[in-house]
Amino acid sequence: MNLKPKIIVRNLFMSFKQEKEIKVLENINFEISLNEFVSIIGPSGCGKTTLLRIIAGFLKPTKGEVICDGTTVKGPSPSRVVVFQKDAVFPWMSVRQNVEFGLLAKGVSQEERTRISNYFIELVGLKGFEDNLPKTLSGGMRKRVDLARAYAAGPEILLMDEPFGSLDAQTKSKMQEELLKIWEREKRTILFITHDISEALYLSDRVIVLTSRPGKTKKIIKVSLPRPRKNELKFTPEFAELEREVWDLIQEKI
Amino acid sequence: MKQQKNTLYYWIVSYGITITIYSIISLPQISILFFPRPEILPPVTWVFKKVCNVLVSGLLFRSTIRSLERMTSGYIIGGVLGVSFGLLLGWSKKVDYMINPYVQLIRPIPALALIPLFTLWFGIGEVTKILLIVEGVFFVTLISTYEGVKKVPIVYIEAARCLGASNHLLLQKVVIPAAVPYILSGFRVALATAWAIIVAAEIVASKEGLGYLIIAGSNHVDASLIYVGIMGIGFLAYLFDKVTRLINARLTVWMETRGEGE
Ligand SMILES: Nc1ncnc2c1ncn2[C@@H]1O[C@H](COP(=O)(O)OP(=O)(O)O)[C@@H](O)[C@H]1O
Ligand SMILES: [Mg+2]
Repeated sequence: MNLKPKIIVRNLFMSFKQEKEIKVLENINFEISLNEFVSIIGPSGCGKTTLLRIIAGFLKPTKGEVICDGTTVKGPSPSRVVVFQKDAVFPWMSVRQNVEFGLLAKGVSQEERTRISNYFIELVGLKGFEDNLPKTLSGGMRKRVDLARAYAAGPEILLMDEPFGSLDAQTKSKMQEELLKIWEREKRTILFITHDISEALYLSDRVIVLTSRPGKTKKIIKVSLPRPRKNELKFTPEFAELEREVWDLIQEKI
Repeated sequence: MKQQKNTLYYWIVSYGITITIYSIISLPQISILFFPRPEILPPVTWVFKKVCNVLVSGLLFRSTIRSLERMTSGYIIGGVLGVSFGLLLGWSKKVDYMINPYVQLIRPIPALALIPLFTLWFGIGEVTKILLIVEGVFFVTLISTYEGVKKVPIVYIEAARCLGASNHLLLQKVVIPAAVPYILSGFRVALATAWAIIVAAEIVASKEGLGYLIIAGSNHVDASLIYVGIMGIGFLAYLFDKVTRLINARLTVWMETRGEGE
């Protein structure tokens, strides 16, 4: 196994200047290894999205750096695909066109695109919906399109910003299960942002807990629950205990 | 089905009332009370005779074709230029900074105010009339395309960027499709502008066309001819509107709310 970290976030500071300076992130440090599933959890407004946008390359940090595969991030790259919190599926494209977008950008041939998109569309359970327009799909199905599109582009890192935040509880837990299924099959390094403790614990190898704004790394919790995980895991005492631990951490005032 | 029958019924009643009132007040015995000559408010039968006349003589056909030619060439050239410049200005900040001052300066000038100048420069031939339409359509479609590009949700642009899209792919597959609803609404507004310009231009400087029929009717104190011109314009405008609406519906099927409106 590759022991060199896939993502290194080092001494990261971020502030926005408006009338006065708003400090959003303060001295963030962590590393993520290859094919690791890491969640970042923290109260709303603590800078999670900002952190993810810096890692994606959409924002430059005020200080510090993000290193992916040994090189400093300077801008967006298809090796780091983002699944946004908002619905980012292109509404004017069919499911298939959406899923093939990253491949089209890479200049992959039509046959190869069809083959890959078929695979991922089936993997996310959307077989038969290839030619549908997004407006004919439910919120959960659109998220599946978004996931398939991200995976099909062939990134090494997936950055997910509360992707299931807008889904109802049932669809959400279904999608979590699906995401794990896909990840177990396809791997990739995933950085997953959420404010849902149970979601973070259920999905991740490690959970990074941020403080409220300005966000600092409060604690990194290792989740040693066995894999593959099924939804029932959430109802076990071990899980409840972990949940409690994170809950207390977040409640704590510094 | 029943709904449709009802609508038709109301249409007939509504038109019927108008025509009846017009027939009464246009009776020579009555209209003489208001106007010195019956041609100013011609009875329905006269209008009908006139319509048959211009149909048989081919005058209506020729005039319609003339106006249609000017309209389509001006509309297409102006639209293509407007959309291109709109994309360019909306996309590139540098171009925007350079060209926008001119746009801001020229756009508010009504195209009609330019008729005399264009006539001096380009004569009273086809060029002047087509250029006037081009000018009008150009600015309307430019502004709406520009708006559309500026309003593309950032999330789509960022999603495309991180999926590795080049500038070209981004423009072709994301920015333009996302801006299509704005572009199309610009084309519909431009339609009204273009009709106003073509009629004005034909009235001021032309020897053929529906606008010319209108001014000829006025010069010869023959309101029937004016009616013919107006009805011709109305018919063409209706046709154009129908076609743009069809295209509109076709290109925006992907939208959640298909804002068809009236
Ligand atoms: N572009 C920006 N300009 C100014 N302030 C911003 C900007 N983006 C985010 N912020 C501020 O930074 C803080 C963190 O935002 P965000 O990263 O979206 O938090 P989270 O995703 O954890 O809810 C918020 O207070 C927000 O108002
Ligand atoms: Mg957020």
